Amino acid sequence: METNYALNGRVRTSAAVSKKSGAGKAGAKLLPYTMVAPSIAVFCVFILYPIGYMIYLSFFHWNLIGPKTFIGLENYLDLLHDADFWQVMGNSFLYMFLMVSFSLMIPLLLAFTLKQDTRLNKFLQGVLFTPYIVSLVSISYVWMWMMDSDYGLINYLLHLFGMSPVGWLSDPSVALPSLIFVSVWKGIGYNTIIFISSMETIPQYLYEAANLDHAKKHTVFFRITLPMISPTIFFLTLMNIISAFKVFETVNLMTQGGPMNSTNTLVYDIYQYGFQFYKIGYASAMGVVLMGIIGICTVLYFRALSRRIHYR
Amino acid sequence: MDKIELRNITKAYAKNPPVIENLNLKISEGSSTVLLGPSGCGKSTILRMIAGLEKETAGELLIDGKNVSGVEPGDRHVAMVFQNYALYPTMNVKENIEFGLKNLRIPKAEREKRIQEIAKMVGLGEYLSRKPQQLSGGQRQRVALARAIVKKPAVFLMDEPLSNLDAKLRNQIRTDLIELYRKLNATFVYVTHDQVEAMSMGTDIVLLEKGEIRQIGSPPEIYGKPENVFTARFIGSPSMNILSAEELKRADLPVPPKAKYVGFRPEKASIGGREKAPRENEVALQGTILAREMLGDQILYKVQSPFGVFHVKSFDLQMLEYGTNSVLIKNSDLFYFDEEENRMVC
Repeated sequence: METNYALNGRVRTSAAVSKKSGAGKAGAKLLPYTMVAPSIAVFCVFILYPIGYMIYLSFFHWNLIGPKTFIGLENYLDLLHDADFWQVMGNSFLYMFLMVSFSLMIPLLLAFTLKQDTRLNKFLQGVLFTPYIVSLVSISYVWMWMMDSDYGLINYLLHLFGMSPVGWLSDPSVALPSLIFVSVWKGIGYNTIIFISSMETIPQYLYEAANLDHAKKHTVFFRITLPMISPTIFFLTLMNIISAFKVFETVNLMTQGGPMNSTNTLVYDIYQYGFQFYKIGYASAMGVVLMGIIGICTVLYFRALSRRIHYR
Repeated sequence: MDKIELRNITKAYAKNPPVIENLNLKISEGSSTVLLGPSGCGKSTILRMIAGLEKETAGELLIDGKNVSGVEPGDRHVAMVFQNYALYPTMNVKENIEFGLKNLRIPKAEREKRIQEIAKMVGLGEYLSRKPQQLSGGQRQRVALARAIVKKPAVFLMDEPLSNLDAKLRNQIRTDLIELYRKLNATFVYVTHDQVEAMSMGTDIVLLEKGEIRQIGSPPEIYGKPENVFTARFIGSPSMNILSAEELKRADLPVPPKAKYVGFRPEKASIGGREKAPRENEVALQGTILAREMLGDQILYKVQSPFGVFHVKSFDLQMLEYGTNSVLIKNSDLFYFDEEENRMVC
């Protein structure tokens, strides 16, 4: 009898243990999902749903107040035949290409020269970084004043040196480069700091080995430094491409897309169609196109380069 | 002929006291000179100054009789093997080896030829297209060697090249290095803290402590004729037993009057039971065995004597019982050191 009891007892406890651990396992499995649930919820409400709704709206004609009328692909077909839209696309790509090139190449060279830890370099890094912490709105206003063709500081200086004034924001062929300049100027500090911190992780002995291998300064830059920071270059390029396509504040404040549509870019155009002309469907269609462009760029970029990146 | 010469070299970092002061050293052509010493003795600093990676604070550094201060590392005709190999992680093995040759603008055909030769020599043929991260420690070491050899330098500088390898591989590559040294007919300057490496690799050993040279000599000299207590203790495993001369004098053992320390090597003493009496040219020390270590081909005894604790290495594999034993040492195997810890020749 006693043994039986003991046996029973043991069986029961082991069953209880396994049951308990089973429940524990399920709980442990659920725990991570519970932890990320709030952010998933926020993502769904503020990102996933709006994207879905934008795609939905792009098949409709709607002015925000009246009834929505389903028009199929008409918005997209209109886009295809809209010369202004193609100009906006051209502007956006030109803006993206120039802005990304300059806001990576200049900081890269700056980082290479400023990475040595001296007091002057620390000061210069601080100076370069300052524009980044100032609001883009303030920066836009300051540059708008400096670039004014009649009262601006730049033209005043040009005048002092006997040069003719330039319509920085009023000449259709100069306005877009002016906006690019402002964005690049604002972003230089940030990109430089990121490049410097990335360069600082390159072990000193690699430079010593290169030095013993008779490598010239430019060889060291192209064969050691650049490949070693390739993940950072990759990351910053992608981030800059995306932010370039999303440019809005500078355009809105400094040029309103003008003169003659020369600085009109995708996001500003979407804003105009949506909230000034109340053509929500058309604006949505443009939004879908923008999303597609950024998506395709990202995927292509990853495909093309990710294999050539050296991750440590 | 002297390949490298250091004249009154001083090296200080920032405003700290100098790590090396007024150092004079001649490294003869074709030698394999080992800079040996505990960590922090300045041996790597000396090597890096020869390479041109560190600038001497004062003094002259000559290579082939010419002062090389201000000569870039790449122009000194030296090649260096780093402790952590310092391979370029973004280049494959071949590119790593080729990098220096490309920078020297050596034509492609010649480069290819040399790389193939070297790859065969160090056994890397099938790994040429691999990245360093895909190689084992030993293979990386070979790439580092290949990268140095391919430049055909007159001087090889090696900064503890074996210290990142496991014991077995270390012994194997050590032998390879000795072979390589014989084949290449170049000057080797080799930094290590491992006395076994130094003894096996060096034609000359420079023993350093706190930035100063303690002794220079061939391995037998360094082992057999240590000039001071530091050398005596640093070379040999286990290190030389050093006992107080005062204590020995009090026990009526024959010790020169000015001696402060008496030393003998564990392997030169014999331990063998009570019945052994000292002969005329021997001294006997009584002691109790504290510990026995059976090492296969030898037994290590730790012995407590009235003069202090010492070690005895015995090749008699009959393990002795714990208890009191007498230890016999030939008079000719005793070393005497004076107050300044310098050896007294009697």
